[in-house]
Amino acid sequence: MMISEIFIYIGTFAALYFGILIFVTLYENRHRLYNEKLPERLPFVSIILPCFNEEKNVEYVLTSLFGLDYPKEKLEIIAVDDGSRDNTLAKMLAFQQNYPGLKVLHKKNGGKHTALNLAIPQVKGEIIGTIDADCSVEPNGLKQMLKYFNEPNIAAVVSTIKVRQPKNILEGVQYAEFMVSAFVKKILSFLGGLTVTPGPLSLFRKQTFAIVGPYKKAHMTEDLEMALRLQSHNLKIACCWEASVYTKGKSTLKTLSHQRLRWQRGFLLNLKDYLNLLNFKTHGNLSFLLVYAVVGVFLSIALFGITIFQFAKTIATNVNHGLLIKFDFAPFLSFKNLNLTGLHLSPLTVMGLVGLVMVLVFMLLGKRFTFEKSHIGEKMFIWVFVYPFLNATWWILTTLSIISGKKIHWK
Amino acid sequence: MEANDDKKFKFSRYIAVLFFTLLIFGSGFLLSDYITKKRIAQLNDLQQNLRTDILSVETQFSILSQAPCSNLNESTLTNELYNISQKLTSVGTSLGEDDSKFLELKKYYSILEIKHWLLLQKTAKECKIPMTFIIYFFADKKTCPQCEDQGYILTYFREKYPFLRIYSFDYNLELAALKTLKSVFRLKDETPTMVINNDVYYGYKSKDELETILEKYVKLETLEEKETATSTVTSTSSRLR
Repeated sequence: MMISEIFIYIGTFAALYFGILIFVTLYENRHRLYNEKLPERLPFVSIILPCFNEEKNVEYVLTSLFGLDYPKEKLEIIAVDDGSRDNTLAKMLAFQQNYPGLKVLHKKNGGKHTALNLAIPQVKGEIIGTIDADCSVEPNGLKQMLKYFNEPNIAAVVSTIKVRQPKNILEGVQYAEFMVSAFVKKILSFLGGLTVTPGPLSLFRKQTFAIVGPYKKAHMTEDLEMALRLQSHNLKIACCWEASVYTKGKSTLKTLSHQRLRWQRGFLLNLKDYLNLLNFKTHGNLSFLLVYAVVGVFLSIALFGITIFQFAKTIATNVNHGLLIKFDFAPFLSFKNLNLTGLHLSPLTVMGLVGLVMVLVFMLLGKRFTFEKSHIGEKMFIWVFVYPFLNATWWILTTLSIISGKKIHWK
Repeated sequence: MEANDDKKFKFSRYIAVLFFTLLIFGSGFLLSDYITKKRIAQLNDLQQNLRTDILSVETQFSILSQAPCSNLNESTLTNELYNISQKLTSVGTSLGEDDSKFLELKKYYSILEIKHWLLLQKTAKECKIPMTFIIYFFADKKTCPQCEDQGYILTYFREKYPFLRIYSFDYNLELAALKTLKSVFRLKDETPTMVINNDVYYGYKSKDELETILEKYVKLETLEEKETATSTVTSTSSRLR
């Protein structure tokens, strides 16, 4: 057996194991997928919207927040302008004219974590929410998320993030990816394995910040670091399928790659800062999942390398054939040359098909459990084939950027 | 806030997951193994078919010697020969080129090729069919690095010129009939080697070189012209009947 085959078998086995772990956990928790009961007394909620150069999005997100189905006297919206160089502040103030309930804060640019930290001590709410400027929340989203705080040991609740009306293939790929992610995150929450309280709407009990402290710069992934910090304090994070938050998909490969490099780099560097989370005795499932994720990164890079090598080999053979016959392929273009007897059904092909089916099932379950109504269609197939290559490329670039010590920026 | 009990590592859960994973993984292996076994079972049929085909060629050869050109349908047998070679390639990939079963089948196939070549040579001569024969000797990649390329070029010409008949033989296959064939043409121990009609050509020949050589033998007919050629053969056969 060749080394490449061994890697492929290990990779397939690992992926299959993870998939089955997800299904087994889903089965174990099948009776507590949703929370039915609203809190007897609706708490006062403060939602913080940090903005930097968001003139194009700020009105949209604010409209969405003021459209929430929640008593106005129990809802506080704080928009923080983090020293934007465009008209973000002016737009906030103009919005405030029509919605006096909006509180606007302004500060010198210092990064998202500083904007959040400016607002947190000033909030009136028992529950604090954070939201990104390129998002919009469904009107019932907030109430749905609050149901999870009925359990006294829940420190934070994260929403289900979806891509808003994908317009091109790349956004479609993200749409499908987020659907899978929505499904998997909820299941991971049952294992205490969530590692991010994402910017597009997460809610926290106010006392959480008293326990763990304010946001940090955290390699420009403050939402990831906050989740790891909550985990290191053994605080519980829940995931709410019932609340959908729509975010703008990245429309170009460049912006998408930049975002993913930031996320993946943030994951590795923050994990390095929280190595205590790898202690199985204290963090059980979470430690297992983190080790699995890191091993998965290297396996995906190896599998990507093998696939590229085999693909290049096929291309080289075809080019060589072309050169041999001076690219006169016309004589071969005949139906009698269609030969299916040569198809070789190896264990690997069977496993590959199983893996493919598993991912598609994840996506369909994500759609069903999060009440997504739009049609998935061809996005599903594009995602399955494109994503593994993109993801592995980003991991390679992430690893290289960490090794070289290269700094990256928000946008 | 209370402590997080969701994180608790339930060993039984992970063992159950491992069990299911092994079950699915094992099923994948079993399925693949079942298909391979089925393929090997088909090899026995293939071996039987090859024996029948050899007999069939011999019979056709006898018919031909009694009544030349009548009722001869060589295209069916040529296509079958091509199908068998493809099946053999697939078998070689599954079992490995050194597998004893595969080598045995290869020998049967080589005998069938020789029989076919003998029959067709006579037919072409008797029925005046413009046909060119190439006997191609190849060896494994280690002994003959250029054989794979030469094989591809020959496949190209076979597709391009319908009246070209190519028979490929593994130079190192232990087969008495093949040894005789090599001695008839007094072949040197060299690959790739091509015997075009009765002339021997040693060494790798590029597309252009081979085209120039073939021009001497073949009236170059494209696939479109095949129709005309086939009708000529049919009318000749009818006339002789």
